Amino acid sequence: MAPRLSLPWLRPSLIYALVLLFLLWAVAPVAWIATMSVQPEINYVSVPMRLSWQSVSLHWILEILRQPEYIQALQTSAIVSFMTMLVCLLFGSLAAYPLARLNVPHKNIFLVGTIITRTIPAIVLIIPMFLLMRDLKLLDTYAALIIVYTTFLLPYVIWMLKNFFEQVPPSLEAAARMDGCSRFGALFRVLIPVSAPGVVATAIFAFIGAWNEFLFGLILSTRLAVPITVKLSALVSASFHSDISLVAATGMLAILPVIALVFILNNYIVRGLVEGVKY
Amino acid sequence: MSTALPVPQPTERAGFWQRIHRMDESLFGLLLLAPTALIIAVFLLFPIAYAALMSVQQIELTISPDRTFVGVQNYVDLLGEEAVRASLARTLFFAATTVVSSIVLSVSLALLLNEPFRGRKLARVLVLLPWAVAPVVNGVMWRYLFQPNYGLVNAILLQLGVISRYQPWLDNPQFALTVAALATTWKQMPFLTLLTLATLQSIPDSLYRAAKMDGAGIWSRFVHVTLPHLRPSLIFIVLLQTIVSLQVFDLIFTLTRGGPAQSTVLLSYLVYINAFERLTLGKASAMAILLALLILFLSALSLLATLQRQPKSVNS
Repeated sequence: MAPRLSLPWLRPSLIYALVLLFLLWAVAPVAWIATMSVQPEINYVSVPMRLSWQSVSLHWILEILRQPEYIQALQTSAIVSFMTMLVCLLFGSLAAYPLARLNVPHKNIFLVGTIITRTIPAIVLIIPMFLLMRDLKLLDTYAALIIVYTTFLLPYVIWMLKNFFEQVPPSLEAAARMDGCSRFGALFRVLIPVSAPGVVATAIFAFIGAWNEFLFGLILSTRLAVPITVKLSALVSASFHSDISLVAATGMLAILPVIALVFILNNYIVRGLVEGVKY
Repeated sequence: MSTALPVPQPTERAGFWQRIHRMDESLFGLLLLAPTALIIAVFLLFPIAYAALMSVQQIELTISPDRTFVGVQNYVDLLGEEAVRASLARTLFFAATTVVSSIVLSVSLALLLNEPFRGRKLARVLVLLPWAVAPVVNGVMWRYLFQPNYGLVNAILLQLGVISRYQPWLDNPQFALTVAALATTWKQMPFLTLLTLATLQSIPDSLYRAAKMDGAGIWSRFVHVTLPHLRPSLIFIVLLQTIVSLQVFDLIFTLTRGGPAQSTVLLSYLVYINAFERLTLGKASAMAILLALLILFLSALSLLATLQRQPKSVNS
């Protein structure tokens, strides 16, 4: 491909230098906490630092993984995120299908509604949500978190799926309907399989969105359904007297699953993110 | 035609599916939208209405569980309170600086990644990293980068001779908010870069070639080809980042907890303090509603700007 701007001063060496600078900026903070999580505290606390390859150890990560409460938190995050993803995909595709394809009265109200809901800060909902979940006897349960996360992520999910569905030629479903496929068949057997990459992208987006959430977990959960993000923040508050390497290790455990997903499925994620905001 | 077909067994199940099959298209569409509409109504619209209701009540759980209707008193009190005004100004300042910094960085990076070079694919994947990091972990990370006793920033600056001894960056009211802005910029860069890159790639190569043939230099190609195509999405990115910046909460919770000396108490964090530390739910709700209105207002403003500018950029 020809250079876009072919800036004369933007020689390859300068491009590499600038890109490297950006990469350093993007990677360094994570690299630092990763380093802290595999080194004994004394190595990086001393001035000057004495980081060494010999003392690299998974001791702190394994130490965290030995404690049932952290295993439980990781499990909570995994279950809640997975369930949120499934529920979002189900209701999201049901809603995206008519918005992309069918002739629905007042369609614009729904479309504009999905955009407006995104501007509502979580902090506005947290007090009523706490009271609502208390009255529904759902405090400190997976269900409460799944419900709240789904509510927050659905508008994004619907919008992404709608955009992906619209890229499928309508003739495909028309042909399927002609061959005797039912209405739900047109959605579940034609539209969704054909736009599978888009559906995967949306699924990852929902999973990561739920995994990284913090505020609702902080307020709605106390003991039984505490996600790893909340567990980490509690550890940080108490870290004046605890091993900092342990805090760093917990932080790593909280981001490693998502980082793995991003690097393995980066093509899907890039498409999903762009599609999710395309109007 | 259907009269010629054998009538299906009138079981309840068949009846249900049959009915759906024959349903009017618009009715069927509404049926599919119903579950989502119900979820949004119960868990989003109802809580908002409830928050609005609480915002006109006096609820102070530390004093009594009673609620008394006080009208707009909470709002009046808020606007008169020094801490709230300071937090509002701080939040707007924080939003303005993070919008500018993250957009300048993201657009530069997108322009770079749009040039062909070896290893571009790998670079595009690696810059995604900050996007994956949860805001809470982001706070922990930047806290450790700027730690007074063992931060990486201190170690590097000392090595370079910029500072003579370790500095307590996050204990400095003037600097703590800057660290929060840095962390927000860092976290937002991948997403905004991707969006910009997608727009840049949608500009057809033929336009650049034509401009070049007409003797347009780099600068005029950038101004007359790249910028007009970029402008609508730039305004949109400004809108997105403004919304994100005004909502920042998780980061502050683990980075500074609002300190030192209230210097990082952004509006959303002030709502949290009022609701869950001081238990003044009425006041906290009023503050939350004000924040939501502020975001809606700024969103509407930038949407209007988008709509007004779009025809121009298409013509030019």
